[in-house]
Amino acid sequence: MALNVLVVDDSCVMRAMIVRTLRLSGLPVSEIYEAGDGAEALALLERNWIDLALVDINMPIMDGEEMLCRIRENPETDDLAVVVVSTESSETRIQALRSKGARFVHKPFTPESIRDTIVDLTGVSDEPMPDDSAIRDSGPDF
Amino acid sequence: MNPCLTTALYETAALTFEQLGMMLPVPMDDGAPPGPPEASAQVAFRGTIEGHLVITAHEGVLAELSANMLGEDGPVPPERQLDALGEAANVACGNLLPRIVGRQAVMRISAPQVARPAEGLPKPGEPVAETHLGLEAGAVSLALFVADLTPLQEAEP
Repeated sequence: MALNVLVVDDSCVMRAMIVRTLRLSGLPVSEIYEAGDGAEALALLERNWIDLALVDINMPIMDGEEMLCRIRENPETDDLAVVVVSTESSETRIQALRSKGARFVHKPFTPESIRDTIVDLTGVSDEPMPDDSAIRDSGPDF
Repeated sequence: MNPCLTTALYETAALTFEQLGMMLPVPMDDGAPPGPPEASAQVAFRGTIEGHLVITAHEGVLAELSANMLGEDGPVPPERQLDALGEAANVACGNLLPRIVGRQAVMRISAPQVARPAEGLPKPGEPVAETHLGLEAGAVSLALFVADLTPLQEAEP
């Protein structure tokens, strides 16, 4: 199963870093959507099928904490896999996010920490999947 | 200047530019001026203490920082260079605060404000800590402004 991913961060450079990490991770990723704040992200969630959201906390207009609450309140998205990618270091706030079913990756992150958290949360594999050419090259199975 | 805060500021800045910007910072303790400023990013915080963290990039740092963060060989557009500096300030502030106020305290950090020297940012008083990091392309200066250090002094054993 290839994942449709939503990346939410008010920094376009940070979004680009996360997108690049996803593309290089070996994870089965299909569409990647981007949003600059929580409100924009909720609008994208209404219009698109998304399997996983990577969400910053400190954002203008609507922060990641409120966005996560709205996601959990909506029956359409209440079981969405969410990874918070943030500089947040308060154990109190991190625990509050975990109690809402979110995983947490601290900035600055390593590509491995993002990949391993996604694998653990979604159950997808980062093992390479055989593509058409690999199947063709393997020849007939008889 | 507070020496403990200055040490925490330097170490957090070094970690940020190493891990986020893939740069090799070195201390600038020879008193040499860091060169002309390119831009500054300011992040406000509130909670146990209130204040600002300001990062100023000097000389060619913006281009190197943004290119490293984006993994690009070519030039990065100016607005993305400023965004990269803002994110560096955000990450530095988020990692500095728990070293100062502890990991149980809940602190709110605002979105970064970024400006070129000509535009300027309001100077929030006198810094309680200041440090400079030398980088291959130039240097960065960090200044920590805290409105009232009393909550930290009261928390000390």
